[in-house]
Amino acid sequence: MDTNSISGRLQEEIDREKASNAYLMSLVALMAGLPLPVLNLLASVIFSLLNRKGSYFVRWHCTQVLISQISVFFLNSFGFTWTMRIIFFDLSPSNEWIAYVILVLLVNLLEIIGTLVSAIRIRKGKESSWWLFGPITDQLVRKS
Amino acid sequence: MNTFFSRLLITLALLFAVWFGLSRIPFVETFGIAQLGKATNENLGDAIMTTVELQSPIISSDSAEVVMNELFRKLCEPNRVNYAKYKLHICRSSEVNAFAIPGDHIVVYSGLIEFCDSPEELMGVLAHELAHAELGHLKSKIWKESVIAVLSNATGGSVAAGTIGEMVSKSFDRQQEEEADQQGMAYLRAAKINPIGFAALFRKMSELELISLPDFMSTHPDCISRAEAIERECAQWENNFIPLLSSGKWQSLKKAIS
Repeated sequence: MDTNSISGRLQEEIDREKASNAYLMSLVALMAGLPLPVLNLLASVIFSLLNRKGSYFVRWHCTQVLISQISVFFLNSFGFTWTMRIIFFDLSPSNEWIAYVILVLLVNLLEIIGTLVSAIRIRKGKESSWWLFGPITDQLVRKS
Repeated sequence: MNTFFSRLLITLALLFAVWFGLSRIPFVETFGIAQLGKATNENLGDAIMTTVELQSPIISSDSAEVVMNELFRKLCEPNRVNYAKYKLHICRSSEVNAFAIPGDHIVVYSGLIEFCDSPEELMGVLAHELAHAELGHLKSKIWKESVIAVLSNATGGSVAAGTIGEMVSKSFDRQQEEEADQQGMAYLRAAKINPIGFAALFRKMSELELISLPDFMSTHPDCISRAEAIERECAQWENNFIPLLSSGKWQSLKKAIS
């Protein structure tokens, strides 16, 4: 029996699980963090820091999740602030605001679906590079 | 890197196109939600007013209402403030207090009117509360409290988070109190009302302050400092003050609420 091959496969299995968890954890934290979309971002930062010495595969996926969370965080925070100002300050509800809220909901929905699909694909050992965030993740994560 | 930037541009353009397209749909007109903020504010104000009334019932006295409305009009008209939108309530309570609440309600406790020796003293308080309402402090206070509550919950509601939140809140309150004092003085000046009465009221109130909190922890700057600030500013004003009420009307107001 080739023990090196077995330990290699075991390590690969552990990496897949860790990378997959990076996606799943961001979803769980998203539910806990509503309505202020900060907890999921924080969770992704912590998870990335904890895995900064992990394999290239794990680091790559942690970074992709983190970049996606940062992007959605800014989008959501702007929408949250706008909504609060309408409810409690002198801004009036406008078609632009409703359009933005719908857009934010759509982007969040897309991100949730993308996250779930990625988590499942990675768990099965398939690659999952997002169209927008994949290239920047390639640039940010070093192989060494 | 070029791939990323070109894809980012495409994504941003797509997001903008979707947002722009959606914003052409007349949601506000179709669903009639233009009054969302106003309605929230009014409902909240009515709810708070109901709670206030439970503890301090409104005094229904035509003569008191007439005099109070006359005073309030004399303050609002020269400042071009729409006084008709405000709901002025005199509530029975021994507490020396007045406050503005969302929904354009201004509550004056009977204890404050009894405590005042002249209409000028009362007018100073009304000007201060009007300033809170006109400067949008009530809505920003609700906003601030909501944010602090959410952040406090997000950090697990720890004691440290609660204490920091409380200190931030108090500092924010002090800043608003100072703004309301300044704006209130501007109202008094425009309405040609002598602010010395307001300063005198603060000096009397300072004698009531049994427990002195450190300044950074209290929401209102201390009474003596406020009285001195008013007296300093008043020294620069032209002495063209108008008489506010006849002695008879002032006494009738005091009698109506006693």
